Amino acid sequence: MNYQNVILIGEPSYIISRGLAELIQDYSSAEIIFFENIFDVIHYIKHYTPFYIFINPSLYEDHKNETRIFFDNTRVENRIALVNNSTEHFANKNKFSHILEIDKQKEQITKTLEIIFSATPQQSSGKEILSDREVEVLRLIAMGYTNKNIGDKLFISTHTVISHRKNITAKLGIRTVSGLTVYAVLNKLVPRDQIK
Amino acid sequence: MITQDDKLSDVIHLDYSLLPVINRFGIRLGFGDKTIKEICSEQSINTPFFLDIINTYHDQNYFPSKQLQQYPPDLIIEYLLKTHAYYKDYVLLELEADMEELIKSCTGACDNLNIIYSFYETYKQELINHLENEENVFFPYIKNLIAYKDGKLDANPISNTEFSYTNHQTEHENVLEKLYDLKNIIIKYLPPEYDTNICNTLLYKLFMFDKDLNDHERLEDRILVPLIERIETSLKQEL
Repeated sequence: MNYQNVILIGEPSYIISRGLAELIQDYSSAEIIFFENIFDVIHYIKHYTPFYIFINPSLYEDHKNETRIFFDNTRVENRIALVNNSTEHFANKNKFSHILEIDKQKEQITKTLEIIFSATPQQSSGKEILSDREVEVLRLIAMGYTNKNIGDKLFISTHTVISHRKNITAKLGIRTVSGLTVYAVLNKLVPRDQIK
Repeated sequence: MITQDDKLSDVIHLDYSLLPVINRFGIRLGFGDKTIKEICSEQSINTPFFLDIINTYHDQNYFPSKQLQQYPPDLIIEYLLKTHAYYKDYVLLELEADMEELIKSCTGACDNLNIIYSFYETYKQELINHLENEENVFFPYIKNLIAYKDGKLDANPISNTEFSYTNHQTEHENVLEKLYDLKNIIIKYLPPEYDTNICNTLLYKLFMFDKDLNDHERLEDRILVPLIERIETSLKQEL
């Protein structure tokens, strides 16, 4: 699994990207990373999946090949185009979930940001309690079962198991199997002698 | 941004987590008011390389990939090897000692602390394996690639290497995620049946170590790997 809690800003102007980051910080505590050209953006998204991508279309417009790679490689749904008056009409407009007009006043920008960030609630807010089903899945993870075995035992699809795992990880803030196992033992969800 | 005309003492005041980083270049304390440029030229350290490394470390968003990629890979590998030695010969031992202290301070049934301890032990072993894999497979492979490119080696190393980027990447992520889990379990889920001050010391060290490892990973994945990929591409065209 790659780190998800990252916001990527691809914008050639230093002033604009840092200013935007300043505003974003009011809505998200995710780490923000900056790139000034399409090559660095592509290199990053080949390895990691950020939560949001804010990108200025002028970054990729003159690079046909890179444009294709960029849109093929981002599984990110939250893609936001950074545009101004002169770049209003840009290629691949339909591939963005939102448009942010960066030459507008602060109030208008924050309004758009509010929409962007409220459409997808933050990963964890407040106290997270595991559902009974999630506890069941967690117990089996701790006992060393694979996704497929867990699915067979609980009569659910592997896909559903994976989705439970994602939710467990998001709720507990624990990402690895051995970490989840420690959690399960600490909370007496599985006896210690059942751990390999 | 830290520049060559800054006094190194000011830099340490600005960010003391750079202390082990400057040590890796052989720099010891007691340098008075000397600037980075002066210290580097006295000790024959490549100044731009030194600056790029400390700036990358100091500021997550500083990433001079273009410049850094122009340094000879040997220079980067040498730095990474010093980092490995620092982890293996110092940090991991320190963490282990703190873990033991923490267990000694236990006031309850101590089962929970023992679970955390064995989690740490497994983690430590995995990390050591990962570092040794880099030392024995990854770095030698890079050296062979360069030797071949310069005509100093007959066989093309691409065709018979055990090294896999995908595995390397996965191992990196695993090593970082386990460390994250360790911190989070202690902070959120471990019942406090231990001496608070010892636990704080342990956590401070875990946070520092996390920062160091992240930086190490960034240097490898975003500088060394792209550099090698470029050499590989040019060599594959020859094949």
